[in-house]
Amino acid sequence: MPRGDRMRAGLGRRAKWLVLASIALWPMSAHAWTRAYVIEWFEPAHYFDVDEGVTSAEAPGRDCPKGANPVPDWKTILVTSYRTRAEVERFLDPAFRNDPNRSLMTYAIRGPRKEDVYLNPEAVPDPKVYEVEGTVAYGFDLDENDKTGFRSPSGERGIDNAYYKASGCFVHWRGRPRDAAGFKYGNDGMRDGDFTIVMVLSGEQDPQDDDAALLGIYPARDPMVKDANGNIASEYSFRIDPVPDQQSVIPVRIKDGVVETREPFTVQMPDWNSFQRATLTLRKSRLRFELKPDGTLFGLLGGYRDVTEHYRAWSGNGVSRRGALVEVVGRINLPGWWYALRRRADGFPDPKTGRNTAISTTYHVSAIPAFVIEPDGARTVQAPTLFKKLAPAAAAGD
Amino acid sequence: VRGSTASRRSRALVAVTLWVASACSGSSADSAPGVVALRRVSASQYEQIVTDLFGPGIEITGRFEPDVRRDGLLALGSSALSVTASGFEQYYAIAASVADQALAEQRRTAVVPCQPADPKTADPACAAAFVEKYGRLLFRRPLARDEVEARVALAAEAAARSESFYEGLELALVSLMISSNYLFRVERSELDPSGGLRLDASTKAARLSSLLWNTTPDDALLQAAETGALHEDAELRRQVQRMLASPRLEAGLRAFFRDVLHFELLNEVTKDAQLYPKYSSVVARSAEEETLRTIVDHLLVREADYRELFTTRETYLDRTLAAAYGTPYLFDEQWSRHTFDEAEGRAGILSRIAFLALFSHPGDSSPTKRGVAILEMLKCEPTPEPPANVDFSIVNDVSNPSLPTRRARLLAHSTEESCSGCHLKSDPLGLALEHFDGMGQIRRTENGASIDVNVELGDRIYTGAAGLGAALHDDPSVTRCLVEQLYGYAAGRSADPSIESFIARLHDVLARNGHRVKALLEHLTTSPEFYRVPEPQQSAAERIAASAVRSRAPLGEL
Repeated sequence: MPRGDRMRAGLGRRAKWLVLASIALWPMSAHAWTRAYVIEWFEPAHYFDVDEGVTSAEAPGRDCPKGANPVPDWKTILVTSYRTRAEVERFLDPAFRNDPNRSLMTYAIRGPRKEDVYLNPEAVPDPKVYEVEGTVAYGFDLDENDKTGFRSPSGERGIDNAYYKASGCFVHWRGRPRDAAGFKYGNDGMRDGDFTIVMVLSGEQDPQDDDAALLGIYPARDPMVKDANGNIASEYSFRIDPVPDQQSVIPVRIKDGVVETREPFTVQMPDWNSFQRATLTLRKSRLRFELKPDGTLFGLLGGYRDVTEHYRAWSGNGVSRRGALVEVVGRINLPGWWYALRRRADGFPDPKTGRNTAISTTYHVSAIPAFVIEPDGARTVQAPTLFKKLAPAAAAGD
Repeated sequence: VRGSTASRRSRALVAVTLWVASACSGSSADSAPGVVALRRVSASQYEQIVTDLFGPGIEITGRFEPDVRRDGLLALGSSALSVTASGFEQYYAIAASVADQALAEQRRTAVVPCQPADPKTADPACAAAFVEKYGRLLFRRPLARDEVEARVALAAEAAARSESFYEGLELALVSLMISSNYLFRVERSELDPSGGLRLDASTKAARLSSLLWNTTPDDALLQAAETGALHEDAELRRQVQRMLASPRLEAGLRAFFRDVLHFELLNEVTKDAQLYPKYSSVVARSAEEETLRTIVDHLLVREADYRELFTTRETYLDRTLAAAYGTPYLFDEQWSRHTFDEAEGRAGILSRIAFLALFSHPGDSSPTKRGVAILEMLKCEPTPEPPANVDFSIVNDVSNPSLPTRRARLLAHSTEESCSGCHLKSDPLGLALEHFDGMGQIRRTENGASIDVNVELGDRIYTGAAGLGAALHDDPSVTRCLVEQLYGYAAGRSADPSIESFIARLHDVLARNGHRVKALLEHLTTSPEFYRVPEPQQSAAERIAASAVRSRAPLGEL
């Protein structure tokens, strides 16, 4: 695009956002303001710590000195007391791919007593997958102890992102932001209409500086729409889907256009990688979102997530072949990942066993301006509130 | 037994050729003296007729012959069109597809007015009933005996070959739908008992149904024509009032404004995806619907002043369009009523995406295109083509810091003597819309410079779309243009000086009735002048001959 056109386009966009902002700021009182967004990208914040110019997700780096985890040796892994090596080799032989007796459940059923490892990963021994050995990670000092955890890219100490440590060396989840294959896959589903997550930010003072603002996060019923360049189009309208356990209203403060939690908070929202409308729960969570001049929002959302919830999001929870696909396509030994999650879990110890049940996790969130409409479709949301009572009776649990 | 599509088509072609040859050998009303005009059916009329006759849900696939715009209207161009050989093939394919769907098992009971004695053999009586019913509706007049007999014979022959009565009927229906009597609205004259010539009653009926409902006459209107009652003022008025009161009037109004506003061109509009990522064919379709809905709501539902179309902030939005406008969409129904905020500066249908995107460049707005469109479409003031050697370098140089806005560049360009005449006339109208970019999104600056939308129209200064809308609202040439276009659209001839007094009277009627378009329609369609036979400029026979030479289509059919 010629320089003049770029300049024109940029100026036009800025002017447009100013107009948008003036329209979106629905006056509740003299200083009330509202901004609404649709999340256009959501992924675990993994720090791809490699030399400049390195692009391969398999290459060694400061994060994973041995490189990414190798492809699981299925010829060995799938052999059990009830499945011979010859049977495994036939199962893996592409020539028999269309054999009607061939089932992807072969990947799942590999415990010594035919346990489904996607439900019971500890039925098989720990294969000891590679974990992140680097020292830099995105995230927050969730335990308020700067002696534990990583250092942030900007030098902040005590960054707790043990999920990254456990997961960051799988090739499926490794790469620069928006470039890891597994995260692309999950986001493609969201961007193609599988599910939608929206946010509403409102306050009473100033959108750039407000120490008593609220942030609402909700699932939405309407799919995102792509623009002529394949990006998610801004300013579409989305109706909130009042799923009871996937809504959150979070007290936040805004300073110089940066949104942060006032206090650690429990966030419940749709799982970004959802295939069965699962819930993502983050306890003691924190967030830091930057409100960009062009009207978009970008930042981090972190907290402690139950390791079982993490595992089931990828293993399929025994209700689909998802776990097998993740293992084969993603080159991930899921029980191996489970052991890593358990090993690195760093929060919410079980009162009886003392074993940590949750793992510090951080996500990158990118959102663009949108209009968020109340569940009945009648009006825009002016201030975040919980819409749980509007959920269908069968779904409303509270 | 239903054969393959290819073999059926082959059989059909042979049969149709035989039928056409036999039809050509006898006398035909097509070539009878008294034909004063042939007006090709538009794509939208074709679709409407199929829906009206056979019910909704029939898919029409294929491309219609391209239309030609004359004196600002496709409807005027339709009087000068023929059918090319390839176009005839297309019409054949479309007709075959429609016949196949209309007589499919699940629909045939409702469509065919009788039960064949044996569905595996010909039934001439039932076939004749079918041909008479649909032939009358498609040809807009009763069929002559030989026209019916030829098609009944065709149906019988096809039924015998295919062992299916309904396949025979399909072929008879195809032969009706590829006839020039259907594809062209044949306007005929007859002797007026009071002297001179007048349009015959069937032609009157077809003019009415085409203008008011964008379709073929219904049974009641055909009956009025067949009995001659339509020539009586009272019956004509009764029929007009019936049609004006019908919800089908919406189809007629939509077709007229779609033609006036050049909306068929929206299918061809492309935009630079880098500059206008939100623009797409979906947005274009929604934008067209937005403007047409606004017009229908304003003129028919609310029966409001036509001139307020240029000032209204009321509109209809779907989810796609709401995003393009950057405004919330409330999900009460697919098309949600919306009022633009005054501060946005959108006033009137010229400030909506359909007009703004259509009359712009792929990567920029165009005050000149917008201005010329307003002059030609709304004020009936044609603009000459620019000189072949015009130098656009100043206009296109967006990097010149001394000319940051389109307005500044245009003003510099229009100082050239060869350009100034037209630009001084058209540009002010378009410059008032410069707060909307090439796809109609709001902008207030260009290259960092504030965009000035103050324009001088006549001896007054107007600001932005609201100012332009107010100027058009008060401009009598706008309402006069509506009258001229409506007459031209309906009568198939431009409003020339010979009907000046009629046009002036219609304009007066419009003003005296609060600029309500329904009143104008009523007066137009109940006035004798509307049905007056014009002095021939080229005889119908000459046009038919010329068309046949161009198209190599069967002479009897054209």
